Amino acid sequence: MNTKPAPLIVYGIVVLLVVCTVIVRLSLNAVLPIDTPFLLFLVPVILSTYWGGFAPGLFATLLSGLVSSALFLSSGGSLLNLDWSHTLPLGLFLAEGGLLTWFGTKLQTAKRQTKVSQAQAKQYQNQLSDSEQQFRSLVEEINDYAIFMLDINGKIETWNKGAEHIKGYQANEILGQNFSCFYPPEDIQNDKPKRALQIARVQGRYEDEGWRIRKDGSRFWANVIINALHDETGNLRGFANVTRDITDRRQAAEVLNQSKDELEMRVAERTAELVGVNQRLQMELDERKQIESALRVSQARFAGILEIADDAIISIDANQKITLFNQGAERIFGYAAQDVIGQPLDLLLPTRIAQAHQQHVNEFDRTAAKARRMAERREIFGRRCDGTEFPAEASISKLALGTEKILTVILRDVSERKRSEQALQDVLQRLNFHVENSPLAVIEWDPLLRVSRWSLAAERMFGWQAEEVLGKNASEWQFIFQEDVEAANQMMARLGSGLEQRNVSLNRNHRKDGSILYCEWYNSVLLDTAGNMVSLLSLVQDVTDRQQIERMKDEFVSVVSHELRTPLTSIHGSLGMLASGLLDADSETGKRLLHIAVDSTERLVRLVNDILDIERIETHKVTMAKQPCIVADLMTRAIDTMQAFAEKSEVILSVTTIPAQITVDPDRIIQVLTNLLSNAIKFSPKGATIWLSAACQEDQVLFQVKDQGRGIPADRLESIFERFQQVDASDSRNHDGTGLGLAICRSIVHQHEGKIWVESQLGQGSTFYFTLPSSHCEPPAAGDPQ
Amino acid sequence: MTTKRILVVDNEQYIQEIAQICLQTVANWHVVTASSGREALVVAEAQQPDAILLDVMMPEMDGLTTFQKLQDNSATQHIPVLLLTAKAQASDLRRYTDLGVRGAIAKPFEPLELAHQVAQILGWSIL
Repeated sequence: MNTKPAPLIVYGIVVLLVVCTVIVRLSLNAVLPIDTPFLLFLVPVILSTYWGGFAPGLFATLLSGLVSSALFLSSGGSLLNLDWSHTLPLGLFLAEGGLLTWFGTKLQTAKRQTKVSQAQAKQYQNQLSDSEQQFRSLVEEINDYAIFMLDINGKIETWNKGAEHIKGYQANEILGQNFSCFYPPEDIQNDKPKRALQIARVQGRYEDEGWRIRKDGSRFWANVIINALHDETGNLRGFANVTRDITDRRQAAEVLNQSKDELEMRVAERTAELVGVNQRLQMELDERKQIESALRVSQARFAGILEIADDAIISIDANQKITLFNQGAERIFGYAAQDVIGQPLDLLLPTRIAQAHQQHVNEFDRTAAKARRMAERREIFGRRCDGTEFPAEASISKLALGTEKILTVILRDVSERKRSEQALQDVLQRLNFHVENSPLAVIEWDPLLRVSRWSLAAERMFGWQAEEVLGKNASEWQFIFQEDVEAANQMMARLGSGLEQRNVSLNRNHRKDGSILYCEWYNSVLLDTAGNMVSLLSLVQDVTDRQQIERMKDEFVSVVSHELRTPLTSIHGSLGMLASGLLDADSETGKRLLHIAVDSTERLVRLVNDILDIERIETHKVTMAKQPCIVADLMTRAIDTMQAFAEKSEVILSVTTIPAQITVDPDRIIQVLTNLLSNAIKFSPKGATIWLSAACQEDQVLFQVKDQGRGIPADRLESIFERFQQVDASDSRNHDGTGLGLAICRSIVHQHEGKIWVESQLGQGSTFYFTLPSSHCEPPAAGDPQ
Repeated sequence: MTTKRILVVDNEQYIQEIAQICLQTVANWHVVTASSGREALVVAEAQQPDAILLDVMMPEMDGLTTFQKLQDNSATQHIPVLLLTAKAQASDLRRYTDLGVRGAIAKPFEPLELAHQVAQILGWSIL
């Protein structure tokens, strides 16, 4: 608002305006309704307010109200006469006027203020324009920073000197290009420029460090700040880009980093090295401590061992003077250490060998060997304090300490051991002697049942030499009779498994020549604590003879039993029938039975007599009543006895005798002769001749009984002299023999220290011979038959 | 019932005779005899006896061999055989019966009992 008019003038104008309005109203009275006098008066109010403001406006209102009321509404033209019915329009008019005035005033004020603001704005705009100009010139002149503006799509809008300098583009070259041309291809591929703008758009600012490309294609390391620019309404207008070339800084930083890393690495390496060294040092220290402590223990132990050792430990110096003498040495030699230290070693040796020993020691001293057992091939001896000698075992060792040489002898008194060894040796020798000389074969088996010992008796018994069977299993050579193998194996297994500790078994074994022996095995087994077999010992007895005797005895008993039962059955049967009364004793049958009974009884008597006879002869229950006899007499008496039987059998007896004399039991010799003659007669066919002869032979007489009978098979020539061993088992029955005749003959001849045998050819005849000793036998005179 | 026919085999003449007399007198059986195993085989086949009383201990061919041969011959294998033996203990008896022998009678036998023993073993009755 420019100039305010003086208040008097203002109010004068207001009055003027109201007067004018009254005039206009009065002139228009005829046109306008009388009851609306105030309407025109609003005009002076508005104008007053417009020109003068609030107070003039209000004044115009009051004045207009008063004038119009007085002129148009009151009847006397005075306000005092105002009709109350006009009061309401007046009041309304006053209120309207007041309001208009107020509004007009306000409007006036606002208008004034707007004018002021516009003036200020213009002023500011001018100022801004100035400052922008200044800023732009400032920016454009900056050389170190590329500062340029981008539109919202990244197109370059401005370009400063710094940008030219850094990027190498002139403003005219680059304006309108997209700023992504500064980015390396890899960044473009990754949409880095777009993302930069995106971030700036959203966050208002984007900062980055990275490679950018100059116009010439070279790269530089850039620090880039992009700020979003908005206009007054907040719409994005574009971006301001500030780029710095910090390649140098980066290189410097890289170099710095590198050297820092290197330094750190070196420090780390060095630290590690130091830690290692430290650990090693610690370990070595620990180790050394351990070794030292072990050494102390070891030293103490050795000192202790040395002192209390059972063995004598004696050291001597180069002059063979004693320098060490432990407790063991004191005990063994009987000297106290202090008495022998410094004395020569000879003190401890028997005088007879001291000299030689000294030489041995010297020799050893000169050899390269460090230790040696003394007297490897012969015993050495020590000499005690009391002069007694003892056998010893010793070793010697030498130790060079600087120039000093120490020889140490470790010596043990082995008298006790020698005694034990000797005792053991003696026992072993005795045992071996007995094992080898036992009539029993001694065979030892190892855990695999291989022969580990085969005594001399075993060699004799089985024919195999020890070297032929040692280390062999019994199955590896023809040893056990095939049928007995399984039983023998089972027996061995029972022993080997510990089921039995000992047993006795009987089985057949082969001799080397293939013959079979009956052997009794007395076995015992030695087991270790785990129950495993250590050794099995067998004592073997050859019981073949006994076995044969047993068998013969069984057979003999069986035969005797049969021989006795046969006549007994006849007697029992016949007499039983006769006694039953079922038969008449006088009948043919009765008589026959009686005959059988008598005949069988006689046979039984003969049998019993013969059995008793042979038993008595063989057991010497009867002695031979020996007396000088003429051979011829004996032969004649025998012939006489048998003559009747020979005639009955129609056999001729031919005798050739000698005048010799022998000392015999005549009845027994006649018994032999009659027995042989009787057999000859029995087995001779009718008309045959039997020759009985005697001949002198040096110191004996040879008797012969020759027949022409059926002969004896070769395999029976020996056995027929056994009891009940007739060539034909039926002979005894058929020929009234008992089967004991030849056995009795043999017994009698043996009692006279003679021999008896037979020679025979089947179908040709047999010749029985027996000899009797004679000191005065003369050859028979020629042609002296009797 | 027809008269039984018995073959007595024994190498002892006297025992043959006594057995024959006993069996005939007590049981009225007809008795034929043989003095050896060999003879027995021939007689048994020819005469077809109802039973054979066989001695065990005989020369040449003993009783058990004879029995086997009788068994091997289809003409004689059906004839029941009893042994007459000194060895007639329980163990021997079992051995014999295992072989197929019908029974065994001990020597010396009881003359009056012999026929009854045979009859009992063979399940015969004596009139």
